Amino acid sequence: MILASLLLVAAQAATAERPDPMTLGPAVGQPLIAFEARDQTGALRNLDSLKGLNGLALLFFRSADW
Amino acid sequence: MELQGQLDGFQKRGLGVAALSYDSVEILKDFALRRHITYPLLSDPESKIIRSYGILNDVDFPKGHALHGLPFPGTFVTDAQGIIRTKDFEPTYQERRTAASFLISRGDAAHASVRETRNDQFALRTSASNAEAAPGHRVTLVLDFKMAESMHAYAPGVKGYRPLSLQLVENPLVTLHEATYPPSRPFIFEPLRETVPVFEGEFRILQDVTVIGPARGAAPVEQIDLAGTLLFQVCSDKVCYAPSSMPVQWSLKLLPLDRERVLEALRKKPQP
Repeated sequence: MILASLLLVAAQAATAERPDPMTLGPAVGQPLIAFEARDQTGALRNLDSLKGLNGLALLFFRSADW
Repeated sequence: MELQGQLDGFQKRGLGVAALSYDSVEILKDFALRRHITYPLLSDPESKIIRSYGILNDVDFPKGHALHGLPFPGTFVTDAQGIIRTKDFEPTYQERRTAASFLISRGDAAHASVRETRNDQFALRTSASNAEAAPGHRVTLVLDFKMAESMHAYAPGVKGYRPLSLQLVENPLVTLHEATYPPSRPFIFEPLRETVPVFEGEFRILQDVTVIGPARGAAPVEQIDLAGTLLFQVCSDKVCYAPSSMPVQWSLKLLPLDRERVLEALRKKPQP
């Protein structure tokens, strides 16, 4: 019973803390945060090397393996 | 990923495309080979970039969880100067907008589930961003109108006429989002001295739906049929048609959740 109550409290806390992901990270109107990362060929890439003439679509995805 | 099939659409718009995850270069290399992915897949194995963006998902995957380090999935699209112009993060980590849906929001044509109809008042082409989608995918249903010469349809907010309205039937396999109507124009009808909001010429209504799929343990579903009614009333400055309606429908092939994994030896070790 106590355990159940604790779990309930924990579940409520988790719900309360769930952020709206749209509020996370840089906002519309701000620049992307610069970084360097290796691509699937091992080449080091940065924002300049990724963008096209009119900009860049940068996706953050869960995982290629899960 | 569905994105590969839409790469042309991004390139035509001069947009570079890159996708970042916490996977190792080896996992991404294997994934790119298996899925024939040609755009850059970026490796952030310690989730440093994910953290620097402030989008680490430590709600669903807190410290100590085997999947700690995953981001909230989402997309940023910048302009030529690198300024973010569109940001798209869905409320839960299981959901994401398809690349085709994004391109449609930028004005591209949709090529799936196409149906065309025409009457004295307008031509209507209904279509969908994707022919197939998996649970969690947010796709877009499109209604492209071309009004007949000098005709207008009444827009939401009008009084005394039936406004154009898409009413989709609730379907337990999807979540319906609010339909998006284009901006209306004020139409001045001199004989009645009234000004009313209308749509004229060519315009588009967008209706997003997020695929849920069948409940756990329920019978498998291969296709989702979405049906609805389009309510409208059309007039010109000379004739006025009675309020009317027509059925509209779309179908979407339901894909299973993607469970294919890399070889055991390549798999990620949980982060401390």
